[in-house]
Amino acid sequence: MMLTLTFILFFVYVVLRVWIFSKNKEWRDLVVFALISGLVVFFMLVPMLGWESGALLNYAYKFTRPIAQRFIPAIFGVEV
Amino acid sequence: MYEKGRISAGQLFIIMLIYLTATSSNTNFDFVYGGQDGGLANLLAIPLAMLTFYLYFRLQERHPRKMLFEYAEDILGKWPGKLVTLLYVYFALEVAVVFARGFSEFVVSVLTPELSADVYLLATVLVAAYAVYRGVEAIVRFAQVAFPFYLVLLIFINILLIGQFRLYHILPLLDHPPGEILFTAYLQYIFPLSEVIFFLGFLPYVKRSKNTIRLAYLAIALSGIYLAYRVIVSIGVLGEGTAQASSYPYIAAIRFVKIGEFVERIDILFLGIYIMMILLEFIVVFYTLTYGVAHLTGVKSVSPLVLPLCFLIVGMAKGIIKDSNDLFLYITQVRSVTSPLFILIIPLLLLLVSRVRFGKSRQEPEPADGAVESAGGLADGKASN
Repeated sequence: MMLTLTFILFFVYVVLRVWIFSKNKEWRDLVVFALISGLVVFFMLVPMLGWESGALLNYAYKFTRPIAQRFIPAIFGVEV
Repeated sequence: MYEKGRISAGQLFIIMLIYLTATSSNTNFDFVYGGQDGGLANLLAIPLAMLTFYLYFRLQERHPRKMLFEYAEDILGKWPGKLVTLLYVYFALEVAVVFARGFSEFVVSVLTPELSADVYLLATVLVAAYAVYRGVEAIVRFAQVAFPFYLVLLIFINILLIGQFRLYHILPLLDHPPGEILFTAYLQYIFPLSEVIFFLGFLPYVKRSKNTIRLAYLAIALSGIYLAYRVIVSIGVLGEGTAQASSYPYIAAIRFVKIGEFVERIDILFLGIYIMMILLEFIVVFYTLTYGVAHLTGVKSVSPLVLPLCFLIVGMAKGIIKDSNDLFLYITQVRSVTSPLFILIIPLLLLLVSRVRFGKSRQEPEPADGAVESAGGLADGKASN
């Protein structure tokens, strides 16, 4: 509930900011701002659509776990 | 150079000491892998962290009043420099996201189990946004004001903890195989001690002084000694098995502090100031992240980026880790692989290329404050606050 309310307020802020950028013709700033805000919308909405908590960490694991599990025992003799 | 503010070497010392001792007080990697020898492992990590800081400090000396994002382009050229900036932005984002989630999980676990972690997540990022908006001087002043309380409280609590300490809990020393102790030292090096790299956002603002590097080394050494002490005292109070099983062994040990029958739950007192210190730690990472993104994208002003980045952290924090156990996995299986790139390989590469390209004793003249104000900032297309 709290996150949803904050998200709505943030959406209002984004609309206002985009309007200010376009009024001042600051196109580069507008594009950067819109891109980051787009990412925000994606990452805020995806958990609401049932994205598992910890999914990002699991994604990182796919790359780093094989390296960690191969090199750490070889170097330190410790199982991780 | 993005801001007009300057900070002293003493202020850098304070904020470094806070950064390196706050969240790390409550991690349990060194307890799990090192047991009572975790204290020794923390001491072994100190010289490594000093090496990392030395590399960044030498780079900063060669490129005064510039952030890493700027001098990486000077050294490597525009696009390789942008790639380095992108890597650091990614790393800062990853650390900020894990920090924010870890912090909110910590507070919910130890203080308010009935309250949603989202409340703390939002509060953390909004305070950090305000701090970054106010600038580097405001951040270090906050650190200066809060530091005496933190220090007095730490001394007070640790003196009281000695009463509960049992020597037989920490014996025998050097009981673990050298590999485990060295791995623990490595883990303590990658988190928290090597995170001095996030001061790359602060180093350009430090007034030049012979004491700067000495005070920074002193902050690293004192932090390492404190972390070693906390392992010894926590295991001395709880015993090795209990300390290893606990997610927050230091807080668990502090709960044992009792004065007669009238002063109990002194951990609440500690947590009050301690939460502010963790917040400060988050602010340092968020500051670096914001300025990294500003430099990468070439925007004119930093302030419009602050809120979207805040909410990006909130959104990502929802999906990064589930609980404090995931934080353990993150450090041991993700950071243990990715950290060397940021704490050793890239700074070493930058230093070597800088030496080859610009000679051994290159040192850009440091512009006067007035000159920076007139020549820097918006006129050069650089971001301002």
